[in-house]
Amino acid sequence: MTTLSIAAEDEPQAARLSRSEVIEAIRTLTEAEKITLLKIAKIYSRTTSFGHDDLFQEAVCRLIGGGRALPREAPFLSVLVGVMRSIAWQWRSEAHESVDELPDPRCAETSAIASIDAVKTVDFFADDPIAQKIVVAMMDGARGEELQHLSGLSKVEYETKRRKIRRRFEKLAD
Amino acid sequence: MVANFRPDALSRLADALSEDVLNTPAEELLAEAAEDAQSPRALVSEFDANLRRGARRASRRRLVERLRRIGRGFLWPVAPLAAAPVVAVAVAFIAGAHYFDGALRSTAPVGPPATSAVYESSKQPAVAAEEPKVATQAVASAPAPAPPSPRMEANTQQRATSVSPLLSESTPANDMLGRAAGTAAPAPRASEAESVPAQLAIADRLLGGASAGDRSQAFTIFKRVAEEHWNDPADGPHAQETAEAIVALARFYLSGSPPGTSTLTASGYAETASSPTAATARAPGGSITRDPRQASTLLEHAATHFANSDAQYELGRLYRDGDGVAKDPKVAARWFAAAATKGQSSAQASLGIMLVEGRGVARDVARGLSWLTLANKAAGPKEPWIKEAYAKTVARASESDVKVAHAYADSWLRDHPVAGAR
Repeated sequence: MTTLSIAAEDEPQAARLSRSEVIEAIRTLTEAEKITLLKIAKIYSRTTSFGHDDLFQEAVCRLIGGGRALPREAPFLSVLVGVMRSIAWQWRSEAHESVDELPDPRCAETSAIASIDAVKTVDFFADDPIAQKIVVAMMDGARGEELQHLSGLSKVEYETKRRKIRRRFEKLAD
Repeated sequence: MVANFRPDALSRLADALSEDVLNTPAEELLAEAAEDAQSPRALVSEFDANLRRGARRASRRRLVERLRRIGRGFLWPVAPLAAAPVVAVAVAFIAGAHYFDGALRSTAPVGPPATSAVYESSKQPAVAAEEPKVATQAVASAPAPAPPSPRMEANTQQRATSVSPLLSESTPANDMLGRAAGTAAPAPRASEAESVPAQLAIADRLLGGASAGDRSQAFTIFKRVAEEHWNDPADGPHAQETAEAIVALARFYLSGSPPGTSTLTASGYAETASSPTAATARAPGGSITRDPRQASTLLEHAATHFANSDAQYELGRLYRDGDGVAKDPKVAARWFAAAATKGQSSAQASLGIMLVEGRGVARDVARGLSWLTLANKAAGPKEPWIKEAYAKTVARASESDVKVAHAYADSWLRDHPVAGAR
């Protein structure tokens, strides 16, 4: 059961934002911030079977509806991204739970089906082996310099490649 | 290769790429937006529209939650007859409070109207009309509290352009429904207070009628229910009825011509046009041309948002056969699995066949036969293809496979008594 952690009335509280403050914070985001959020919604929605519209609307709904408390001192953009991330995680987990209900306990197929999306994503970069290598490493949790080292690229080349990966992934999620 | 990926691989990739977006300079993001959508303004408008819809969703949930709390804390001890006027007063009071809440907020000095999307939402007449209806139903049926998030049953690579269109706006689903509506005859309009089940009962009765006009009216009723409840919460009081209406509409698009004629599936088993309510899938007076792509958009919404097993099965068939979507047996198997675990017999049989044949999934005769066994037990007389598929598979299977299959099936029925009894 979702708890109402934001003040039920529009009275600001010391530790967290009131509903009206949340609304105002969303409304006054800059164009670049709005585009940032839409892009991130597209990226996270790619891990679910929902569209980015649904993911973003659900995040807004939970923030405005009080499903998520917003600490006053926290960067608003990061909190909103965190909400979208956790919703995507929740939706994806629910999907896996339903597939896990298959009756055969020795079945390796369930995990195989769950990995189809990952395989397809990696295949999408098949025409660019270095990008593919970076994507696989990202999926394995590698970050920062480790990724650059794995790619064998210079810092500038690596940054360019990473931007290309992000742009292609965004288009994949469209 | 498949087994090498960790279950959270995509999430980790998304985390990394999201960090990249957050670290990208604003000017670069604006340039990318201009490149993608001609103007950053288009994306900002999209953002505002989604913000409005999210705010509406929150508003609906808040109202329903208030009524649930009242129902739990106040109404339960009261005798049903005495409760009726109290419910009416409570609904009127909260709807009124909600209205004034919205009115007050709409006048709050929060900025120029063109950008105060959230406040605009409280003035939307469509929402104002819809919310009390939802609220009344919530109290009347007093559903158990449940998490508000929509259920998701399976992933698919092919998506609808938007799975949550507000039907008062121009969206693919709205356009699709609207286009179809233009061809259908007006249906007998039930009163506003007419319950959704009652409307669907009328539609089902009309579908059984002989004339094209009856079917046309049935189509209009299904469309109306789908439009009015498209965005209902997945745990809302009319979620399943809405999903059934959407599936019925999709079947109109799938048949495109009077169904009931058996078709031969890729596996060679005769399969009727659809599962349990196959007989209802008829084109309204021939005015709907077959359009599996539109059907897939409708089915995807019913399968994901409402987790409807018939929709999941139908969607699985589309992916298996490449009908309206890119052929993808793996995705098909996944949809069949989602529906099969809910006891949808056609999906159980279809999944079983795929397992036996090793199509889209690793071949496993015993497991395939176990699903076919479950389907065979639940299959009705209108599903001879299931019985035929079961008989063929049993005849070819080894004795040990049959034994293992029956053990699986028995075990599943013990663990899923409700689904198994469907």
